[in-house]
Formats: sequence, C-alpha cells, structure tokens
Amino acid sequence: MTPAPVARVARKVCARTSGLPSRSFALLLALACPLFAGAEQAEPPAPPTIIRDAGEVSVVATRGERNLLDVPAHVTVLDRAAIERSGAASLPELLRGEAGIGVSNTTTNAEGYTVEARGFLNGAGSGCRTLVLVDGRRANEPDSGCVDWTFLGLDQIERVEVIRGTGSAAYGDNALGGVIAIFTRGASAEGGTLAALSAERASFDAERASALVSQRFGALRVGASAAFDDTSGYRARSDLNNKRAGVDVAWELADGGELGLSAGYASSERSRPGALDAGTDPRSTDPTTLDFAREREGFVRGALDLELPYEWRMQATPYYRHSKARNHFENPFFTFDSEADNDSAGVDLQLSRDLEVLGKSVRLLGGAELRQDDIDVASSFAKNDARRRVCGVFVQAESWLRDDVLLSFGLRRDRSDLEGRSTQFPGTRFDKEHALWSPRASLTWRFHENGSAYVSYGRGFRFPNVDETFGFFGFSPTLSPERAHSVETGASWRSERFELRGALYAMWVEDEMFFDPFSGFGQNVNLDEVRHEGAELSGRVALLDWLHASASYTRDDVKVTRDSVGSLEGEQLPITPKNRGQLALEAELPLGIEARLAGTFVGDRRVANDPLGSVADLDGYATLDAHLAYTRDLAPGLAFTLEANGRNLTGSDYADFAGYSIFSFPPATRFYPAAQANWSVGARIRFER
Amino acid sequence: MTRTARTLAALALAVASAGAGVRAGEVDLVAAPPNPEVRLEQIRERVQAAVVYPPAARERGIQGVARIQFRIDPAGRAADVVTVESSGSQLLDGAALQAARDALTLPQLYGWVRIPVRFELARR
Repeated sequence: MTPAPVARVARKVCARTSGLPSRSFALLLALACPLFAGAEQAEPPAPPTIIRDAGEVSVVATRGERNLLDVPAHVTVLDRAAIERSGAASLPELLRGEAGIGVSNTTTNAEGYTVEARGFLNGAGSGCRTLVLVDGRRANEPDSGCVDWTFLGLDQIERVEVIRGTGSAAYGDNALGGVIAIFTRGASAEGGTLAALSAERASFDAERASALVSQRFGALRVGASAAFDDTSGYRARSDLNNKRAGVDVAWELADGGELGLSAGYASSERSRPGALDAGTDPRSTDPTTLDFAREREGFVRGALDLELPYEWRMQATPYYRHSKARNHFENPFFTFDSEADNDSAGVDLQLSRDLEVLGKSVRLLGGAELRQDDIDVASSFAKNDARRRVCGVFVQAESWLRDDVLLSFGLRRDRSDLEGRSTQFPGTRFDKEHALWSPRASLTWRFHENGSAYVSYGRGFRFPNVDETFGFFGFSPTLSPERAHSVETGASWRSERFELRGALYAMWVEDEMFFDPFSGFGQNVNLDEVRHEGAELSGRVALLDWLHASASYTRDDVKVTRDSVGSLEGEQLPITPKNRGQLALEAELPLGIEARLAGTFVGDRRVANDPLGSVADLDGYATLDAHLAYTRDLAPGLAFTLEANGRNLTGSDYADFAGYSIFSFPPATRFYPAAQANWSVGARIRFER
Repeated sequence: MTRTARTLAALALAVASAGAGVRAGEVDLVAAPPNPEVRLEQIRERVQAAVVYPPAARERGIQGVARIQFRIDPAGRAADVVTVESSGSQLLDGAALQAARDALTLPQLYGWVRIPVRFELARR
C-alpha cells in the first residue's frame, strides 16, 4: 500500500472515530506505513506541494543568419570558394551550370550574354525578366532592362545569390523570372585586411588582370579595386577591351549600423561580329557588317544602415548612375549610329522590425523604391527622349506559426510613368502610366533539421521598357505590362555531405511581350497568355572526403496558350531549350591541388524570330570543361594559386544562339557560333587577415 | 487528545529522533545551511549558466518566455522537470527544460522550484 492511500483511509477513519485532526492522524499512519508496506511495490513519494518562484533566467542572443532552408523559393548561394572552384571565365558562365538559369551569347565575348530564369530566354527583341542587383543597386539598363555583363567581373565578386521565380512582390519591375543578387568583395570584406591580385592569359589573345584591396582602420573601412580584360575574341571582329575601377568607404556606427559610399567607373569597346550563314567558318565575321559599340558607365551608391527609435531598423540605398553608349551598325544597305545617354537616380528604402502579434514573433519589412530614368537617344534617324518615374511601396510579414512552419506574405504596389517624344515618328509624344499590385504568399515547412519544403503563389510583372515602346523598329505605345500568376513548390535537403534542391513551377504570363518579326518591320507585341512551366533539380554529394559530384537539371516548357491576334497559339517560344543540365566532378588532391571536370548539355531549341517553327531547330550541344588549381600557403593569411582551365575540350562546334533573318535574301537561319576548344592559365595571390 | 493518540505521537517522535541520529554537541559543527532564498538564487544562477538559445530559434527569430518547474533530487539534479507555461515554441520550451536538466549540483531545496526562462533576440 502506498502512503497516499493510507493517508486517505486514515482520514476517513479519524473523521468518524475521534477528535484527532484527520491530517495529524494521517501523518502518523503515513509515518508508520513503512512498517506495514512489506513486500508491496514502492513508488516515489508524492511531489511536495510547496512551489518556490525563482528569479527570471534570461538569455539574449543575436538573431542568427537566416537558414537557406527557411526561404520559400529555389535559392542557391555561390560563395567565393565556389566561384574559384568553378574555373568559370565570367559570371554568365558560372551561372550556366545553375538549374533554372538559361544563358546565351551572340558575340563570343562578354558583351553578348543574356542570362534569364524560368524560360524567359526567348530570343532577341524583348527585354529581360531577371533583375540583377549589385550590392543592392539595380544593374539592369534603364532603356533595355537588360544587364551589361561586361561590367561584372568575377574577380570582384564575393558572393552571388540566385533566386528563381517571380520576386516582384519584393523587388518590383524586371524580377519576373528571378533575381540575381551580387555582393562585391570590397563591400563584403569583414576582416582587417584583404588584398587580392590576379592575372590570366587565355586563348584568343585574351589578357585579364585585377587588383583589390580593403583595409579596416577601427570603425572605418576603405577599399579600392581595378580590373581590365582585353581579348581579340574567338571570331574575327569580336574583340573586347574593358576597364573597371571602384572605391568603397564604410563607417561602422557604435550601435552596429553602417554608413557607406561607393563609386565606380567602367568603359569598354566591343565589336559585334554578327551572324553567320550555315556552313560558314565559325571564326569568321559577317562580311556585310561592321558593328561595334563603346560603353561608359559611372555610378555612386550610398548605403545607410541605421537603428531607429521603437526598435525599427532602416536600410537605404541611394544611387546615381550615368551611362553612355555609342552603337554603330553598318551593312551594305545602311549605316546607322546611335548615342544613348542614360541617367538613373533612385533610392531603395527598407524598414524592418520584429513584432509580437497574438503571442507570435512577426518579422515585418516595409519599404519603398523611387527611381527616375532619363534616356536620351540620338541616332542617324531620330532623336528620342524618354523619362520614366517608378514608385514602388511594399510590405512583407513573416511568422513561424509553429517551430517548423513559416508563413510569409508580401504585397507591393508599383506605379510607372513613362513619357517621351520621338522625332522618328513626327508628332509622337508618349505618356503612359501603369500601376500594378503584386501579392505573394508562401508556406515553408521545416520537416527536418536538414530539410524543408515550400509552396508559394505570387504575381509578377514587367513594365514595357523604352526600347520596346519606341525603339529602332517601331513605336508601340499600346504595349501593356506583362503580368504573371506564378505557383511553385520545392524542397531542399542540406547536410554536410549531401545537398539536394528541387522545384516545380508554373507561370501563366498575360501579355508577355514578344518581338514579332512579321508585324510591320518587326515589332514588340503582347501575347495574350504564355505558359511557362518546368522543373529544376540540383545537388551536390561528397562521394569521398576528397571527391564531390554535383549536378543540375532544368526542364522548361514555354508555350503560347492564348493568342487572339496572331496565330501562335500552341507554339513553343524560341531559344529556351526544353532540357539542359550539367554534371561535375570536383577533387581535392594532395599538395593543395584541386581539379574539376564539368560536362554541360543543352537541348534543341527553336531559333529566334521563328515562333511558328517553320525552320529547323537549333541543335543541342554538349561541352566538357576542366579546371586545375594549385594553392600554396606562403605565410599565415597569404595564399598563392596557379590555375589552368580548358573549355569545350572536345572542340564541339555549336551555336549558342541563332535567329531566322528576314533581312537575308532569301530569308534564312543565321548562327552565332560559340568558341571551340580554348584554354586559360592564371595566377592569384590573396592576403587576408 | 486521547491517550491512544498521545501514545502514538510519542512513538512517532521517538522514531523520528532515532532516524535523525543527531547527538547533543554535534550541531555546532555543521555549517548553518543557507536560507531558502539564497539557495533559490543559486539554483537560478546554475540554470542561467546552462541555458542555450537554440540555433534554429535564433535563425527563425523566435522569442518567448517558458516557465518551467522541477524538484531537486538527492544528487542535486533537477527532477520531474516540466513546462508549466509554454513560450509558444517547442524549441524554446525544450531549451528551458534542458537547461534545468543540465544545471549542475543544485542545492537541496524542499518543494518545487519554478523559473521563468526568457529567450530574447537583440536587434544586432
């Protein structure tokens, strides 16, 4: 019998038989109980009922860096180590191996790159749907919406974040297919001293060199960088000469905030070798063209990161950018020059704080984007002036409903006012306003410490850009913004030896802008609805401690599902291949030697300007690239690396891009060949303390 | 009080005295135990030393206060550790319970000890 039942019995007995308080009698019986308990099973004593309140225990920590597994999107981060390990010659070449990212090149030098996500690599004539941010500043050109990849040298980059899927609810215009956020090495430096030098010599008389230094003096950090690259290019008249320089200053505030200022200047001269007829020597140039371009770009960017009252945090990025581009087009029929002066000034503002709502922590983020682009184009034919004002405001909230379920919601309102005039079309004045809402909602489930799954819905958009509205080919004042409903689901697993990420997406793009070569002399039009759907899969596994394998696969299916004006319904949009992928092996060998072998495959795709599929598809191709590096630590913090790269080792003869030319006689498919087997050797020195 | 009751009370007192085994003159050799308030503070300090903010909660921005309750077993460890008021997060509740279990050599204290454990994220 246990003490508690004994006490209960005693209480009943006492209550009936004596004046002894039942509690005392029960106590006596309980004390005597062990004498009678005998062989009965002993149980722990009843818990004492006295409760003593101790003072509060408190643990204060800084908020941890956000885990990629919590992000409700297909995201990869390429850090400096991954960049150096890749052996890539340029940022677009690095991104070519990423699932969901499509890359093409029309010149074989860095100028001709187009990089797009989610099946928007749809050929010439239409702007770009991937927003590129460099330290938070828009790199997309104000006139075309595309990015000049020449000015983004890999040596200057610390980290690249690739976010697939519509990001309009956070970033507004251009972020329809995805966002590529680039963080430069100077602005990202955390240690006391960073110095890096690199030099490279490559095929086609290519020479590259870069220098970077960043030094901290107490709360002040000062950095500077410079780089140049020069190449004759794979093809005749595909030379490129490029110079870049920048400075960066940041002052760390006592409360952890920061004030920063950076400025940069870049200039380049590039030739454009044009397209070739089938069967022509791939290293030749289009004999009928003498196209070239000269570009200059300068920018100033501020960075404010401040603590405000009531636990608000403010981050502001004001910027000003000026670019000047001179383009020369020359063929037997006409010569055409244009000179564009673009000025962009704007500010991105973000306010954030953590709130307590209904007992849950809610992360609240709000902000605004104000931007004005002034675009003046003087050409042989006309003078076009345009001004665009963009105002976007947004709010985002996210909260962990449970420890493993994150709910995110965002809403953004963008308003664009594009006004301009052109002497190309007499009397033409243009003033068009658009205003759009972009909501987004998502749910992330952390089903395991190493794994997560998400589902999301979002609306994305892109405003017609200046080149599309009144460009070389025509005036299209009735162009509507393209808008998309996007749904996607994905899952990720990240552990020390194994990473796997996958996503399935579908986007229904209303009024997708498309260059229709058969409309007048060729014009941008809106297609009623284009469906983009596909799958992305990528992973990395440690086969052995010293041997890793990585792979990526992308399937994109881009089809016109409604076209009330033309006859494209059911047709596949050009240039985006249905299948592409990469498989790589990376080995860390003794004596500081690293080796990488990567095979890339790109499937067949329709040629540009052939939405009806009336000519043969552009053939798929496969390439094999190799990278070998030897690193030696010369002193603490000082490392020296020698590297060699071989690209397209099998000498695959392929075209990265092709278009059906209505200007040819007779009209025919014309090709932009890619470089065959080529190599580079280089050296890097890095000092970091 | 009846005679029977008095007899039983005397018997009980005798048994208790024999169990204590304290002889006159030895009491002065034993250091005076700290009062319960001091021991309570020692328990709080040892739990404080053992508590860890869960990394997953830091990443996710989860904050809150978990109230836990436990007894001290004869070995000086927290026993029967339970959450009496959840923080709303299993991660934080679990970390608070674990802190009590990990706290070393707790001073003896009769009854339950109840401690609020606050998890807070600084802005930076």
